[in-house]
Amino acid sequence: VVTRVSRASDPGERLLSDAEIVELSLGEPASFAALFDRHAAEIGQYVRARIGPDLAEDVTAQTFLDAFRQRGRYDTSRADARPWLYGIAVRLIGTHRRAEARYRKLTARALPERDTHDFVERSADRVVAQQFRPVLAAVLDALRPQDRELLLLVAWADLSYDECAQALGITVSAVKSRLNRIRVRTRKALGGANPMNEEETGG
Amino acid sequence: VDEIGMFTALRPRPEPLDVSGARDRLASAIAGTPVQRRAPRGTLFAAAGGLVAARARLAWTLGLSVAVAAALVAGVMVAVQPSSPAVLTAQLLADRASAAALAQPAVSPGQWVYRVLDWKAPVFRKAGSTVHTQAGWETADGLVTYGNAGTLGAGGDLPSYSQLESLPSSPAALDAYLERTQGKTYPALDPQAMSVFVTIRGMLENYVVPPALQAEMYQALALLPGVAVDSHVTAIDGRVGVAFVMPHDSRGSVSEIILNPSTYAFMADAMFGDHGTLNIEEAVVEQVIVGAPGSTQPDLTPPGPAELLAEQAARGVESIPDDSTNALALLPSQAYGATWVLRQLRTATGSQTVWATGDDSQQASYVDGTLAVCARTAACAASTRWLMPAGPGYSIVMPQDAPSKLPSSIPQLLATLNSYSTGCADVAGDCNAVNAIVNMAFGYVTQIGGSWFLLLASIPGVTVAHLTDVTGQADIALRFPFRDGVTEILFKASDYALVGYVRDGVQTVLTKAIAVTGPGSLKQRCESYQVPVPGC
Repeated sequence: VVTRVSRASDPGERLLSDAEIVELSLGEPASFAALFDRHAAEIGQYVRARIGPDLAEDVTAQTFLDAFRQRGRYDTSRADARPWLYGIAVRLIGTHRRAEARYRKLTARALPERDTHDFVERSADRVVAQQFRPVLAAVLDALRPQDRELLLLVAWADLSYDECAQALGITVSAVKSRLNRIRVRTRKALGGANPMNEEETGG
Repeated sequence: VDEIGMFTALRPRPEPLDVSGARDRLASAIAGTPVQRRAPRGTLFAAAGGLVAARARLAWTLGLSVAVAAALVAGVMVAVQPSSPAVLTAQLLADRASAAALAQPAVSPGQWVYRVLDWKAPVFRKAGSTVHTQAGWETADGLVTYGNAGTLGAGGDLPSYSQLESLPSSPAALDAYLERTQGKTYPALDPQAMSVFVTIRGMLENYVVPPALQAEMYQALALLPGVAVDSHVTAIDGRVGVAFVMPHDSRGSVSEIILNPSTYAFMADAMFGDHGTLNIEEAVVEQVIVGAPGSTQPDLTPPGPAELLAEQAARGVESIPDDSTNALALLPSQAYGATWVLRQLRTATGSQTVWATGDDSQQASYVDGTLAVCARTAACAASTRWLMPAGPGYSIVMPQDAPSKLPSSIPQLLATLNSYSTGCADVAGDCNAVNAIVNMAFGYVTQIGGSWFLLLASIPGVTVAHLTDVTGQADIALRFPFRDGVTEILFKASDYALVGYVRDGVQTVLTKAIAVTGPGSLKQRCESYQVPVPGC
């Protein structure tokens, strides 16, 4: 029954939305595998970036197991399941707080990479930001766990404010105000001004 | 430039993660086979899984097909043998299946069914052509399982077994009812008909459906728009069957309900995707109504009162809902062992409050106004000890992130528990096992295995008694013919929750068990919970 969940080869055909797959999986549990195939790579990559390769596979597996078990409660008005999956992953990451902090410190100390990968934009912004890694790492460390989760969903997972709100179960205005607080803290830590604005030609 | 975006600089170099193992674990969960790292809740093997949140019983732990072993129905098939090479229509198949269903014995909800299932699910992996075999026991209502029972294609919002009796009895009304109540729309040619097909298949797989209703279900299948028959399909185990076929779309995706071609009992099912590629198939290789879990011998004797009580209690521990008041079971397993737990125990002479860590390594209570805290086994604990320490330790029953290390089969579990010396006299009568279970269940185990109750019901000479306990509550007791030690275990009559025991003639009822901030504390500890908990 897992029909047309992966790729629409015929332009007249419509790809099933995540919500439709979840709904379908209520009657045909096996179709939930399609949701895994769609999103596991992305979720897995995020989890790996958060807590390192050792725990990432287990946490990713648990994310989808939990999602499968909770699928009856999925809000099917939300076509895209990514925020929901990120939300589950973030909760699980939260149960490994010590490992997460250890890995974060490890990677923050690492030397800035020479970005030659396609997926990293070699923008001036990024090069400048690299210089402030120690400051940014200190800010990240000092954040409340829930603020850190939000910040990293935006900065590392590229979720929109609306998606963050869904993932964390908070309102969009709460997302905005919390991000604003983080902006202010960051700006203070960087010396009051946003260095980006002054160093357009730097690097 | 946004400050938030600057944090991208801290992201470790994105590297792909190998998720194939994760996919296998999901596939296992979907397929209902035990996941290696965590026993799925809902099977009695999950004696103390330590899940973060106890959840309602899940669809994939359901699983019972209506097919009855050929031995059981062999004598009744004469009337429905195909006598002429008539073209097999959906209606004709339905008539034959209905007649066969009506000839089956009625089976009560608490009766046990032993089933061997073959399944294969290429949909999970491109090369996944392995045939898996699993065998296990379930009650006819599919609510209590033992061993590796399970099924693949089931799920969805099935009517509960207790609702089956009240379902409409005419096929058309049954179709209309299921269409109305299901509400799930399947991306199919006819979503409504598809959802009825899936629901009926789910009920046939999950329950031993009462004969009359089963007959109506086959009739209802024949009335569905789009349903067809295939008079020659090969099931996964190589047997040839006849099938109701429901097309999903015009690209070759179909679902099949496959019946035995001579007994017309439910035999197998299969789901095909585009262009007829196999997604999932399964077959009931063997199914026998038996007397008790563990047995494979046919036995239609209804279960006795002790067995029924044990099944109800087992069902209770396996269907703890999210909003459970059993908050201790909701503590993350890694936090539980070190957490102090307050317990209030009521006897006829008064109430006692005792504290113990989750893993029962330390116990505490007030002795003459002074809080005494002692290691569980220390000599000074004589005054604070409230349960005998004998029994499998916490790390055996509730190992972190792993299933219980206790044996899962009831005879082996009995032998293991009898090997602990609990000080009772009737060793030959299994008193050590009964005492050890009480020590675990009231002392330090938050997720009790349903098989423990089945074990208790199998103790020679056990009887059932109705009584009012020291708190004034109506209870049902399992009563054991022992001279000393634990002679009764009490269950709440309303929901079969485990509430107390009688040891050496003293009835004790556990009236409260909550996590607190430390020994001697009355303050509920809330910070470890990741889900809403009453009182926090």
